[in-house]
Amino acid sequence: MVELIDVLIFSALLLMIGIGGIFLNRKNLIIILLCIELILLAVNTNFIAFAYFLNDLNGQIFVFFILTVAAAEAAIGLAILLLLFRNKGSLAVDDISELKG
Amino acid sequence: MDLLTLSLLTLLLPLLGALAVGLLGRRLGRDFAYVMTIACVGGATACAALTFVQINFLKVPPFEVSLYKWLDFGVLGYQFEVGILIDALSSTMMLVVTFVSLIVHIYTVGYMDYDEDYPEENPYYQRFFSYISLFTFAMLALVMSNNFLQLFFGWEAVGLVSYLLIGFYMKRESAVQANLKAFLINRVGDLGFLLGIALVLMVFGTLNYGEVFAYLNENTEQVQSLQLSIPWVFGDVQWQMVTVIAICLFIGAMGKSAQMPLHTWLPESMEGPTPISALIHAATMVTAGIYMVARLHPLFLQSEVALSMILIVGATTAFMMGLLGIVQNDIKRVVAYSTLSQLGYMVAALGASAFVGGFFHVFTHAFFKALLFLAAGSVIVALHHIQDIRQMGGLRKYMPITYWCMLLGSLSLIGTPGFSGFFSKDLILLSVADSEIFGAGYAHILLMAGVFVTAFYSFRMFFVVFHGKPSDEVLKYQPKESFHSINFSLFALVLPSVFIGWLVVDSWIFGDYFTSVMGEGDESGGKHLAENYANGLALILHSPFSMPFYLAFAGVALAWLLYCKSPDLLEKMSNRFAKVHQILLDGYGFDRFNQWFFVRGSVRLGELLWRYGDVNIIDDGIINRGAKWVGGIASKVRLMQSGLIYHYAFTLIIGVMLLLGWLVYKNIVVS
Amino acid sequence: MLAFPELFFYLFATIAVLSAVGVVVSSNPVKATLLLVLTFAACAGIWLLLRAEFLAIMLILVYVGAVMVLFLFVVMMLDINLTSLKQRVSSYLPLGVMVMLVIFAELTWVFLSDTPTSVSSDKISSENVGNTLLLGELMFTEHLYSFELAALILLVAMILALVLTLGNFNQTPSKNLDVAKQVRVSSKDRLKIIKMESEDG
Repeated sequence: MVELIDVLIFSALLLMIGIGGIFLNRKNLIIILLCIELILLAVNTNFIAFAYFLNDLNGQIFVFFILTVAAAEAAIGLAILLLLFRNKGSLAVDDISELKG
Repeated sequence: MDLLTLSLLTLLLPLLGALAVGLLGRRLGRDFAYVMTIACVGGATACAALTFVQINFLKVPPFEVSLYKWLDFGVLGYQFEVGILIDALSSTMMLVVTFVSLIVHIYTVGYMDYDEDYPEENPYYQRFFSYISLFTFAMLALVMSNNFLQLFFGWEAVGLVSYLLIGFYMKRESAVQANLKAFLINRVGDLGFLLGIALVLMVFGTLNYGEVFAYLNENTEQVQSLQLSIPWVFGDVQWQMVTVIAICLFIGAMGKSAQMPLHTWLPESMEGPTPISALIHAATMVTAGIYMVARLHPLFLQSEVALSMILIVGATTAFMMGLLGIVQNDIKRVVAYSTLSQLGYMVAALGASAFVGGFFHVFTHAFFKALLFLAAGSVIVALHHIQDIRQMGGLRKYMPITYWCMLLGSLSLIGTPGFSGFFSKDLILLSVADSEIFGAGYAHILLMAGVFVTAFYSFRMFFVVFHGKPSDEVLKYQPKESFHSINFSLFALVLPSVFIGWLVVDSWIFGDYFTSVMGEGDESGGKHLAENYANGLALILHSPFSMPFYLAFAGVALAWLLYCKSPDLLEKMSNRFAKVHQILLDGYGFDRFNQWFFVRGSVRLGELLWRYGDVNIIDDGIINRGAKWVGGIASKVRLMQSGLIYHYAFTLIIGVMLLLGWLVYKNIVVS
Repeated sequence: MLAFPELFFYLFATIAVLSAVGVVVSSNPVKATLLLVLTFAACAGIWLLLRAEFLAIMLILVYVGAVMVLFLFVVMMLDINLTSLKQRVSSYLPLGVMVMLVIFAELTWVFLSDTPTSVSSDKISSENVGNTLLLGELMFTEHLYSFELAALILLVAMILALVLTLGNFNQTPSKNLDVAKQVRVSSKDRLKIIKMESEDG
């Protein structure tokens, strides 16, 4: 069977890719939301790994809740995205600089 | 009645009158004002007289009571109290104060009634009565106190009422300036006085006269050996403590009793109505300083340096102010400078350790100087408020009563043998002549010369006003004797001015009147004199053999020559001495110096502080620059907010990375 | 030769990582979304390997089936002009990559240190009873409160989504408002002082 460390490195990789995606992307906003989902996935995998290797069910419980909250947050994020698109007409990240100054 | 009740009545009746008239006077009218205050002060006079009788004739022992302890520093052991001390000195002073105050009240009924400049309805009348009753209360508080702090309270209170009264005509600018000047110069003296009181408290641990003097008596050497050094001002020089105390207390007396150089306020104070010039600036307030020194004489006797200083200051004042009186043209100012000169005499007497002599002169001077002021006021009122003597003349025919009063008062002032002033002045001159401390010779010469000068200026004024040809204004106004109240007051004062010296000299100077108070020190001038002269009569008989008699006579003669007989001689003399005349008119430049140094200096200092301190440093430098600085920083920092999301995210993640790094370092690397 | 579990693990892991990279790199949002779906699927496989059956299925059913479909809906609904999305290479690329690598290194370092042990030991994912039953037991006894709260969060999210998109039809904020420029305004832009000769009068 795989060692704990392997799964952990895998989840760290996913995390890294997700984080990088957030600020390296200039194209559109949806990529950012997808990257957030990636980060959450990495964290979930981490929990599952620990639950298995430490024989503790609490890890899986926590994943349950993270899933719930992630779903809710995705929904709301999409709603905001929709509104932004309605007002701006484009999803380019560079155009969203209302907070400037 | 027992002394406690009498003294309380004496003290509080004038206060009652002052408050009643002050608060209700406007509503209850003019008649109420003077009836109430005269009744109260009259009652106080009666009580004071009874006290006087009990102390002096019935030989009731001196009476001290502490009425109320109002502050108790438990830890330090100090107590501040309100108390009363009645002995020969204070009972005499009480009688003088209340009696002169009563006379002035009666005089004012007539004097202030006629006020052409202010015909409209105003509470001047009531306010004036309220003030002079208040003054009586304050002076009595000063005189009757048994500790330093109450003395100071009375001191300040009389200063305050003097301020109120000098500026009585408050719409006149000169009056306002005069009362400010009086108050401020008094303040300078009060500073020294307060320092002296503080030093007394520090050295003796108590402010009660009896306790201080008892301590002094028992531990004389120890107290005399105390030293004081003031590092900030004088470096490491050691001063004898008692000298410093005495000098500080005397500075207070200098301010209140108008010795040089704190004398400039007294001539200005003539801006007030004449009754108060009589009451405050001749008879009572200015003599508070003398009273204080006489009361505290055991302290002063400890320090010869202080006594020399007192002697020199007094003698200088006596002579210099007398010289200034020669060139004055305002009738009240002549009498004011005369007061200054006589105060110098009293102070010189104190310096020569003749405390009884100094107080005696206070006593007689109160009467004849008040008489002179009130007579001058009578002239002023009769001539519709003309005060310049060059516009008067020949009033002898028009106002005989005033003429005789002024003549008798002047004779008493110059020391004509047999009059009151003779005894007190002669006493002073003899004491100063006998004194051997530093400066005594100088003082003696000045005081002798002062006798000549006193006679000269008194009779100059007398001749110019009452003799000679009537001036145009006199002919225009056709003056006649004024109100009955004025005449009554003049009469009431003439008798004491002439006779009271004769009445008391025996028991005071040659007897043991003051032994309970002052007899212990053998420098008391009276004791010394008793060895040489048997009694007062001997003094009179001796007078033609002594200098003062001839000096006074010469002064009168010169005045008669210059102002009556041959005025052209006067012209020639004044041309010869024009420069001296100028200096005298200028008042030796004291006023100019004060104005230039203190007044303009303070104004300029204030301006400097305002312009550089306030505007430059605080307003521009700190406040404005601070605001600009904040604004500047904010405008730079603001540029960091680009508004782009990924910038923010990036910053966020870098923060996360750093945080993680720190945690890793702390927990894994270090451990 | 690798045993089956390891083989599958590495297979799924590779798929997941590659498709994750694809999500970040791809220019087409639809493609990105679908690649994310693939990532989720691979991860679900790994979770199965790690004996989290219930959650693996949950991931596919709920997360992929619902949330990702939602994403697709929105992406396809928004009329995105594909041609206008230009490729802009971020100037932060070197710095960003470095940051990423640093985070990765830190995490690895952490993971390489001592392996922790569990604190609470009664809960086991045992073979006899099944993961789901055990999860259910734990959830409805000890974590009941959190469970209810999670339900509430979902409710709130639902309401919020509705409110945000359906509410305030008639009021749209002005599109010409540039707040940043307004904040940076200074008196020189607005006021001009002109010196004039004074009139005689």
